[in-house]
Amino acid sequence: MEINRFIEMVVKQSIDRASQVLSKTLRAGAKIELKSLAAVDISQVTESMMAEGDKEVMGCMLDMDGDIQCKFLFIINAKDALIFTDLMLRNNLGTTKKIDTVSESAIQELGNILSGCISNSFSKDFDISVMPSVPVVFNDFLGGIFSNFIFEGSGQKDSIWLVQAKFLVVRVQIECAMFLIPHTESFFHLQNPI
Amino acid sequence: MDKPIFRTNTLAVGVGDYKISTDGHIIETVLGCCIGICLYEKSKKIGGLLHIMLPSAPNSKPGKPSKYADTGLMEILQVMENEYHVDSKDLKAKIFGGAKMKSEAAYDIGQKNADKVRKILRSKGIQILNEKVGGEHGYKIEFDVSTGIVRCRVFGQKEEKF
Repeated sequence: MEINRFIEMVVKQSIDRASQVLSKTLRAGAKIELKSLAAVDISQVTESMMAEGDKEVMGCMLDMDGDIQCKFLFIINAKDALIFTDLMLRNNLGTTKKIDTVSESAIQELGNILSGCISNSFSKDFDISVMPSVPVVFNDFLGGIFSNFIFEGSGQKDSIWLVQAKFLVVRVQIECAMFLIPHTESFFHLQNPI
Repeated sequence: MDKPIFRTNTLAVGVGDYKISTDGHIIETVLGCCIGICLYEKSKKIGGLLHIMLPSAPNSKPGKPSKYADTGLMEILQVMENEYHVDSKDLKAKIFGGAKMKSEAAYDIGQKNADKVRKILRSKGIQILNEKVGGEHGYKIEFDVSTGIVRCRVFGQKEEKF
């Protein structure tokens, strides 16, 4: 099987599981869809973000390491992060008024949940062992966070495989973005990929 | 390497890339730990913005030269000289970015990038007119090639003009 098809299969299965867990956690329908999996030039993909580069967002970034290596990024619009915090804490919507340590903790916890789902799926469905690191939470410009993600995940390469997923919490119409940079060399080393 | 001239008003620059304008464009980028170097020839109103990731190119498999301060500055200066007939001695520079981002991998790279850029510009005899580097948040910069003015907004702060 071609490595990109294998990565696509693994990622699709993981985000299916993540959707289910997230829906239960938030008690709101959460849908995660794979938007694209493609080889991208690091300059072009970051250039395409620059039109909205100064949008204020919150995000969390982490590494997944083990049988394979990936870099993971979750991004949410700063205003939606407040709504999301209320959902996570089971507050009435509108309770959280500003970004503070509570909303940072909520975003970090989301990073834990999503990466946990992905690593569990890798393990149960594909017998791939991988451990997520502690998520690092950002509140900053979208362009700065995304550029840093690409910089750290690229390993100084000019092009990378980039997985982009859209994440929608239906009830409150929050749309977020999830990105994954799989280090394809680590996938080649897997024995008996499906 | 040929760099096409784009005919839109705003040119965006991604990581490890540069854009040059002779047509009064606004060249923009957003920086984290990377450094943005704005180079300007005032009399000809020619400007370039280089967005570098790392200080020095490795010996093996460096890839695109514009990712690194040393090879990137060399490339943009060569293009400005060969294609736009700009002498580097007539250029002035403004540098931005180099934030200390939270993640371990990028933690101190901003400072190293800034130090390397300053060193190279000095060695080329290019005066640094302004700089705003450091901190812990991202930078949005817009370089107006028609005037040489750079608008810079650090996350959480007011916009400044340089």
